Amino acid sequence: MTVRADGDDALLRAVAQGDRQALEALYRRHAPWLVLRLSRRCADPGLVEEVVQDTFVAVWRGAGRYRGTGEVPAWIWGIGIRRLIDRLRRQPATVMRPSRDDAIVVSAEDEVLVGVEHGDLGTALGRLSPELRAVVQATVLDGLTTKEAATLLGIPQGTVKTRAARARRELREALA
Amino acid sequence: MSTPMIEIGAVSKRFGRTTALHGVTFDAAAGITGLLGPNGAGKTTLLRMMATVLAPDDGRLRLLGWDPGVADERLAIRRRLGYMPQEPGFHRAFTAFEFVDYIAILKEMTDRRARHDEVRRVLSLVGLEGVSEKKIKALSGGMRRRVALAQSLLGDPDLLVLDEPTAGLDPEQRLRFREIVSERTSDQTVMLSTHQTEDVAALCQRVIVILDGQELFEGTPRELTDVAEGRVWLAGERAAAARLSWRTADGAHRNIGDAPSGADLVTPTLEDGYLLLVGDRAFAEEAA
Amino acid sequence: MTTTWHADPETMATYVGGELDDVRASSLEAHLPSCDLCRDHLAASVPAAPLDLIWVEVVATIDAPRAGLVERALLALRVPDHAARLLAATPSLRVSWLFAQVVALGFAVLAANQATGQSAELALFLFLVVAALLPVAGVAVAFGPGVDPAYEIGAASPMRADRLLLMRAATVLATSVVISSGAALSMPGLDAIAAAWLLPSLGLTLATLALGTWLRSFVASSSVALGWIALAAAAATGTHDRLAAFRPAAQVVCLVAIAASVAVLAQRHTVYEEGIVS
Repeated sequence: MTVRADGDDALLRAVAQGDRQALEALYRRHAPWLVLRLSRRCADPGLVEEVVQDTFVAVWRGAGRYRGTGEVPAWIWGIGIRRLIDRLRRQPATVMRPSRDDAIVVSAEDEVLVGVEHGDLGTALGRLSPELRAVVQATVLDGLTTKEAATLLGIPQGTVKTRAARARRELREALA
Repeated sequence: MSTPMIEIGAVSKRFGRTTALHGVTFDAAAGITGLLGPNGAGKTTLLRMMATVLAPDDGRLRLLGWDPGVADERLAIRRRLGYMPQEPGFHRAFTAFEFVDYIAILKEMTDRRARHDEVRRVLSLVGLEGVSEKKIKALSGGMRRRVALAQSLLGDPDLLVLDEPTAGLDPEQRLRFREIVSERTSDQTVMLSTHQTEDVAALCQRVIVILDGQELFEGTPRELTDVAEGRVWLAGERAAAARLSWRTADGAHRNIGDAPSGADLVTPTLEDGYLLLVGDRAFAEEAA
Repeated sequence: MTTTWHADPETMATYVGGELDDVRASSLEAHLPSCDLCRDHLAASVPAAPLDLIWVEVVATIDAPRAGLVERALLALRVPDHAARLLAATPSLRVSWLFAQVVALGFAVLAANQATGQSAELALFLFLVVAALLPVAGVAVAFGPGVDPAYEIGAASPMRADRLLLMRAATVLATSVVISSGAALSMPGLDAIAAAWLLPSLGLTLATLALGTWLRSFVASSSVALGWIALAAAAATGTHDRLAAFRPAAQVVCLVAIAASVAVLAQRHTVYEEGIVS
């Protein structure tokens, strides 16, 4: 994997010093994927845009508090997803986009591709139902707490827990 | 001259027992006019009058066609005026943006969004958009002057009054400043005071020379240079006949005054013309 | 896991179009944070226009000056934001100044609560004098070349200086009254006399503004303050009553002074707007 970790770190340090150009560089680099990734968790494009805007304002104001190396994108994502959840908590909007079920028929080629990145896990994930998969994505990939996942998905916390447990069982069986 | 935008008619001003201006008269039209003179000549007093913050004791003053002595007309002038005083003060804890924003509010820009856009516009005009978040006390002297210049450009004023705007700036900063000022459109009126002849030579369409509260000259920079025509020569050392003389970079002496016959005459510069006028008067005062 | 796996352009394009299935999308999303190459490819295929608009908003938000404590308080009182900014810039409305007032009165209140007999009356006298003079000090540092850094630029601006000054003086007076009232309630034996500073403070403030149409702000305020202290002292010795300056008779005199100051201001307030004091 190509990593330009010190590029992001250096930019963020510059932002902490009040460098507006550094913020813009970070924005041009990270806003595109942030928009896309958030859009897959929230169907309202206006809300996504506002969240992205708030995220980079927060990056500007909180750059001094970042204490890490090479984890800038994950940090930005953490800010972004939590802002989205805050907004959804205040005004529950149309939540998850209908997931793309049609391509669940994974071609042999795709299997190889996915397999290289995530191994059998990818295939196993593909075999889960969309609701279970959504919970796994929220809690595992996005790193949200049960409460945050509940707000994001618009379901009760109890349901998140049950679905997560079922997903874990099914994945264990699939990978055994 | 096309319609004068600034009309000064026999204006006088006294401060206690000192007379700062003795019946000064001149006009300035649209374009850039320079007010040239040594320190204490009365330039700041004149500029303050042109900025409507000081009233003359005698004489007639009209700005943009209005009389600043009448309250309503004074307000109309101020709505189209940008002023950079000689010693601009700043709220030191403000950032550059906050300060210019504050002045923008004083200029009656009440709509927040439009005002902030305008503040950004003038800050980038003077090249300070990268430091708008910095506190003024953290900015260098040259940058602070640019902040002061930026606020004067708010609202694209018809009349821009700049008091010694290049004072204390290094040559590169002065050049930058000249670029900004020369970009003013031809229907705006700029009046700037300076004691640097290079500023006048580079920028001004007209120049007025002031000394001890009186105007000595009103005309184009070319005409001011011509005052020294045939009166500047080079010599190995300071000439006895010279009014003023100084050593140049290549070791020769540049003399101005009544040239002796056979002298090595050179093409005069604007500075020569100015020094001849000002030096002349200074000599006349001493003799009297 | 060290691999050189990158997403192929087709997968990328499908993802950008929002059409990629969950599994591969999650896979891609897990990969992106650590891969600059794929991220740059993605950035290149996303339409620029909406991103530019968001950036404009980000800049607008971070540029907007952050409101301090005083400004936020004013905004909460429904003062329009531009007026709030102007008022918050007044030196005598800064938190440090307000705090200093509280401290000054605090000492007077403490002294009054501790003292007995003769010294109790002296303490009360001090309290009343301080409470009456606080707004005068506040107004002294609210305008003028000495305290307003942008004085000359402000004088050349269309905003009417007399209106701004009255706005500031009124706010300074209001805050002083609030603080002094709070302190008065902590004075021993809640007596009507504890509020006897109210009319004098109003009168002295207006007198300062009125006198300021002739004199520089610092001279005006110190003249008013010293003049009044002298009068209060004279009244005290003359009537053998330390609190003579605060008795009903003196309050009537305050009313007269208020009326006179208002008359002067009504006539001469434009002096503040004319230009700078030279």
